[in-house]
Amino acid sequence: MKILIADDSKAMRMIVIRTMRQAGLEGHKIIEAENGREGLEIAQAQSPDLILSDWNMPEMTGIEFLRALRASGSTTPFCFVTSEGSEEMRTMAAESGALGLIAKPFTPEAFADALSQVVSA
Amino acid sequence: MNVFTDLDAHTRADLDTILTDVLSSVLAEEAIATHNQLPQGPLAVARLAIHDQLNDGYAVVEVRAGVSLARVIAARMMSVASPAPEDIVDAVAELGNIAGGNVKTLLCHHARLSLPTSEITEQAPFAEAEPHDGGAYVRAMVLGHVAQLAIRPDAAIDGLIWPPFSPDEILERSP
Repeated sequence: MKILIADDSKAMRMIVIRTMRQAGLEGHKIIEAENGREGLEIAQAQSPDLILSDWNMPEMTGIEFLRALRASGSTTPFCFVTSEGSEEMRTMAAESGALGLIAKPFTPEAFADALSQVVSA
Repeated sequence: MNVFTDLDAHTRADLDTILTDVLSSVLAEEAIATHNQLPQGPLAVARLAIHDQLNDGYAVVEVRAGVSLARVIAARMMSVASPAPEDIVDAVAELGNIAGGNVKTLLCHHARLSLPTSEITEQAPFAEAEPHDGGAYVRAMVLGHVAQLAIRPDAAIDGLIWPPFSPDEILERSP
């Protein structure tokens, strides 16, 4: 699988990669983006199988990234990995077509629970 | 009404939990609440703001840690032995971002979070570290080091960058 990780923090992108490995979801090609706009461009050019995205990012937020992706016709599974896990944001994410929302700080179990249906170990 | 001031004991306990959970998660080490002081000397400081759109109030959320702890945090987050200064700044900013997002979820029902900023300061007196404007601070100890999470309702938000607005984030003010 090809997995796109969009987060403006390099440290968090590395933690996401490590946590996926700890969750047993390893052996996949990882592509990285530093904001939603770059994520959208990469998603359209490289057609990843899964997108993990932060919400609050410069240039384009994660929710705008998701909406633009869905507006383009893409059905690529999209999951937020964000520090804000309110019900309001979970609802907005679901209504916009997200697979789920993993709230930071997270555990490998949270990744496994949220992603096991779309990522093979 | 300001949701960021005069926090009750229960909310302060929740802030303790946020700080210890964030530190435990990024370091994979046990963190415990403490009343110990921050270390003397250079500090890594992350700042970001919350805009409570229901009441049009602002607060700055700030995470402080000694540079020694910040270096360990960056090394663990980046999986490197010797993190570069920019790695330390990035890691501490993300630490602040995680804490700030959880504070926002704890205190606000409809709010925006700025992007985090961070820096390493040579000296930060205790008086400056502890908010005296109705805000709150909690501290945690991990690996023998102290870190602090503070909410500063009256702190300046100049220079902080906000992510682009989404149309449905614009909220009609309650009558």
